[in-house]
Amino acid sequence: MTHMTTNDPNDVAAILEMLRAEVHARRVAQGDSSQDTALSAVERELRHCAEQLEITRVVSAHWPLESRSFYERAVNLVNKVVRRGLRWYINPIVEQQNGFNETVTRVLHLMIEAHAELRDQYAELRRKVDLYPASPEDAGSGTPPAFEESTVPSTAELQQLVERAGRGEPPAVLSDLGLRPVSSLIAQRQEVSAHLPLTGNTPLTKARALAQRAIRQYLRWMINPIVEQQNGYNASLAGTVQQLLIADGELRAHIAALRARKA
Amino acid sequence: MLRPYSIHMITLVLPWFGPDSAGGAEAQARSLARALHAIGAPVRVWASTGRDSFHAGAAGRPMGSLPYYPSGHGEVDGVPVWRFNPTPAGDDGVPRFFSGRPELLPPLDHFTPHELRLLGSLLGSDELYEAILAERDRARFVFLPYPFPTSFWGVQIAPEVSYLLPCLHDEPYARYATYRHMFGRARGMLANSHAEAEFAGRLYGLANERICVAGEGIDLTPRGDGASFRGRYGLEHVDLLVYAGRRDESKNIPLLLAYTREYWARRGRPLRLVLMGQGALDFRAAMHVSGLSEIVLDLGFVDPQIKHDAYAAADVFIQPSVYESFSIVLMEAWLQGAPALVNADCAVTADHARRSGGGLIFDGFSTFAAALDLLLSRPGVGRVLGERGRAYVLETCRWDEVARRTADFVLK
Repeated sequence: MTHMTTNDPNDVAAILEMLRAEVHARRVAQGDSSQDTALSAVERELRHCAEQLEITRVVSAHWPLESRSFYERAVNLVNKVVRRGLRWYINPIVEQQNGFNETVTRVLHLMIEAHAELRDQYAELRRKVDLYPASPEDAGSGTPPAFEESTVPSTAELQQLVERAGRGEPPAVLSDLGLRPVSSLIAQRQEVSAHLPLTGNTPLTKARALAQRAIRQYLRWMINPIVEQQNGYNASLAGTVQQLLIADGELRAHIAALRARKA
Repeated sequence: MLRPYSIHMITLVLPWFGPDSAGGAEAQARSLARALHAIGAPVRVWASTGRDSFHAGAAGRPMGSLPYYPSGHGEVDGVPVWRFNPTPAGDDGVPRFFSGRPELLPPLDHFTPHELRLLGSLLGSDELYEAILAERDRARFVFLPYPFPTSFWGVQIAPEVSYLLPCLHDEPYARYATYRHMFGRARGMLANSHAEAEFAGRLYGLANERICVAGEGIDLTPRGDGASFRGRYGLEHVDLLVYAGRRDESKNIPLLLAYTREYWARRGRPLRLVLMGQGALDFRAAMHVSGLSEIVLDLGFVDPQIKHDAYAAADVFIQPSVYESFSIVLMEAWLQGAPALVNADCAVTADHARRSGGGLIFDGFSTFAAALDLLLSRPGVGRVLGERGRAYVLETCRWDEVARRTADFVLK
């Protein structure tokens, strides 16, 4: 993952464009033929979102501090010393945020894939509706095995019949089941804390923890607003994911209803 | 017929017990205590003054530790009950009872701090531990369920007269070193099912003679009216799939909903999936239900008679859960003659289905669909399977027989 080396917006845009080109080249090398097909505007936007997620996922507190003049070098030297001294405070915050970002990114990738699968289902369904308005869905025989009803076989024999019949059933791709633990995963990680416990086991480490708590108390004016803003965003993101999951469930239900009417 | 039993008192020990205490283990203890009392076995119950695990504890204390029942002597269904005040463990998770009795402690360095902290976070009672120590020459202790400190520390104090009624199933906690040690020390174990017994034997290396499959009973008197249920909810001309229990992730409800949705989409049969159970429908399950109102009927908590009517009306009773130590609802459904469809990943319910012949087993969507095809298109097959299940329940789920097996094993 490439970290930003400068805050110049033009340089940032150039870096993003370079990353997009890398991602595109990787897809082509992997033989992703869908690159050659016409994609809808929504699908293109979703792919772009997926790329952006990867590019912006990792937060770093240790970007290179570049300097051009003697004055800038002196200032950066002081900043580096201060930054190193504050690692104990800043790093846990950043690690928590990265943990959350990784979880949400994984979830959103899954949801984008699930959405693509749904669109394929819908397209297939529409195709069948257009070509065969009244034909049944091709999904396994649906016909139970035949035997004389006057003597019901043993349950073990029935179980064997079920397993044999099941082999003729086309597999079901139910990607929404992979999204099941999503809500709780996101809820566990969405709250970033700037006040993790600082303790010690020995007199020296206890004294260090005390000093760190005092420094942290002083820096609250700087750090807390940042963390609060990030937590606000995380909460919005978590809420959005939840709504997406609900919308996904509804769309699947509507598609199922259409398919059931055709069956 | 009442049999003469020894003078030793069967003492059921669990965190919570009483008419208002919710939970599977609590309900099982009430029924078992009543059944033991009915056959003339000497029985009493020891529990805390708390209500149950669903209610809060005092600030900084374990769940269920707030007093609800009065301490001291009481009685439930004619069974003597003694209630102890909960007390917190030390910072290391070890009860303060052991500070003056280190010889009773297990080898604590064999356990991780995490495992001991778990024990420390759950309800325990130094008064209870004192009583176990004082009564170990006169009592036979049956500790339930397994994860609680009342069971763990109780077994350490009186291992020669300790039996576990663990309600064990295949979950991460079962593999903790603390619980492995506890199962090894207890004199014996009472299993709710053969599958639970086999699992414990495999996991803890317990010899067969240390495990008794006492089983679990259910109330065998209810009679369901299927036609009444279908009429009440306008379900006369649909295939009826029924589920009862908690409607959340732990019972695999999202899988049940996704499979039912896919089956309906492929076959187009008019069907309903009826869900019944206490509490709210869990969000993770509910996000599947939104939009499925055409086929899912969530009734929530229903009157027991309506529940039995639903079982009687069911074309198929489905139990998708993989974490069961017995599955009371499966037995209740079979009692009303409903054929069952259970998850292959649950050793307990799959074993019930094989032993009884009352149900089929699915291991993925394909067998789920094939089983429904068979049962919904051949109602006669479903009726025969339901009858097999009912016969199994009538033979194995009588509380007096469960009580006899329990008393014979514990008092031998």
